[in-house]
Amino acid sequence: MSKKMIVLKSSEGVSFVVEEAVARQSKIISFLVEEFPDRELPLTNMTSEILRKTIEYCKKHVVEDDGGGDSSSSSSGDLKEWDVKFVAEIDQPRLMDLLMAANYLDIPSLLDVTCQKVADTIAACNDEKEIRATFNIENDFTEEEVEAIRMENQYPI
Amino acid sequence: MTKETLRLLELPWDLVIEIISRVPATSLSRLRFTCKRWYVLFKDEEFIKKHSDKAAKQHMVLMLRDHRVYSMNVNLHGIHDKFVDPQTLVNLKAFDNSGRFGIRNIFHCDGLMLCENGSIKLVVQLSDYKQNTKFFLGYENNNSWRCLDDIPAKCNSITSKGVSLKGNAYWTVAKEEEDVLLSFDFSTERFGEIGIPFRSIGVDCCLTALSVVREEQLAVLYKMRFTHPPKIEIWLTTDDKIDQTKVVSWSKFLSLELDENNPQKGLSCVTSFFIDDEKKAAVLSPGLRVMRELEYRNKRNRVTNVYIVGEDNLVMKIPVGEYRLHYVGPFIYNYVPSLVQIQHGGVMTREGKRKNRH
Repeated sequence: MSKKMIVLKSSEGVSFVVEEAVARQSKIISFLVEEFPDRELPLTNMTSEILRKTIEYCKKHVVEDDGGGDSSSSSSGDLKEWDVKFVAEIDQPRLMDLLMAANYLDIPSLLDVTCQKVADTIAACNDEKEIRATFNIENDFTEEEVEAIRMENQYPI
Repeated sequence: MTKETLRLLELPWDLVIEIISRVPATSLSRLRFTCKRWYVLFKDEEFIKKHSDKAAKQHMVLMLRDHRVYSMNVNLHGIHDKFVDPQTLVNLKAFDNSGRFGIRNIFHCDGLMLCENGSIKLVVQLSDYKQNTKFFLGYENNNSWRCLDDIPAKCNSITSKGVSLKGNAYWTVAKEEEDVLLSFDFSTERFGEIGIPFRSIGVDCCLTALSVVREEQLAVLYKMRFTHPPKIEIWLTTDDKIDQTKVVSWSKFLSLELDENNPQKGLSCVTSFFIDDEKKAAVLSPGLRVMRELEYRNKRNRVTNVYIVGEDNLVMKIPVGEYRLHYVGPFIYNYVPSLVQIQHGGVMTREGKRKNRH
């Protein structure tokens, strides 16, 4: 039996033909294919690179979900390991794009692993300076303000 | 817009929150001055709640000694290495300024580390005074302390320090027939009792310490001083719903025979401990009694030892510095840091939530 296919089109106009079951891990796509019989969905805010990554993630997860059965505990462990490797291999600017894609397409498990990866990067920062440099955050505190807060938080004993 | 920097703050704010709520509490507290928006966020009650649901829990061990609070880092991976220097297994780091407040006792409750300093203006909800076993319930900033008088009859011999678990406080109490766990529910302000059926272990069996395991279970430590050989045992609750039950089942975690010919004085006087049930190890700290004895005999500062008991009952005695004051510890506590803060000018409500006074 041939599987139902749909076409996802990136911002560069590149078409990706995927099984509907794979694409349906996105709640948005799942909704769209039900509402509209059209088999081609333009995703104008996603680059081909990010779309390819997103599809790779969905393919891995749909296969595992189908074949899991009773042995799902061991396969879910493997899947977790795969997820960790998957996000570890992506460079950080691309990770943000992937996180945005997961959010836009509403793929909760992909959003979870990408958020966790960014959270781990934040946790690894030793101080404010390091995190500002890593994430390009502007310091809007003056030294006096920081000092004042530190004084205020001292215990009044 | 450059593609090469991480554009964290260009994400929608709810995504930023989604990410930050996964960063452990100690990292966030280190990064609170990153920018004003974060600083404000970390104090937001809704965010604090979300954070405590999402971020991985960090289990810390604290030691109180000479009124100072230390965080204690124990490397339990190293205990089975024959060539390891025991000194490297335990590492104590003092909290800044903690010596200033004359801290005599620590409670951990919902991520707050509550330190009692013996004065009336405490920031603790409950304090136990062993001599007359009265319980007082006080509200932060309220200065009103109410004596709780519905303590179950005959609970006049409290044998452990109080611990806090899932919104309840627990003590162990020696009764004539059996030991009981005395619980106090902060939401109903009522005491309860749960039997601990271990008297059958031996007539001289005496419960000396209580500990919280991974914010889910309780563990009790018994010693049998006059059996031959003397023994200590640690038992662990098997149910993680201790707050919802009146009957608790227990499993034995550790049983250690002490060498009669070469008595380890400290091991027979353990008053606090913690266990790591994954690594099958316990860390025991001797307390008051042995301190007093030694104090009278010798007026010098004494070395604090902790004992690590690993699998196969391998015992390691590890010196962790000197103590001076015998009446405050050393004592070890479990602690799970969170972003919860004492709100200045707020009062504790009965539900344990903080409301700002108007």
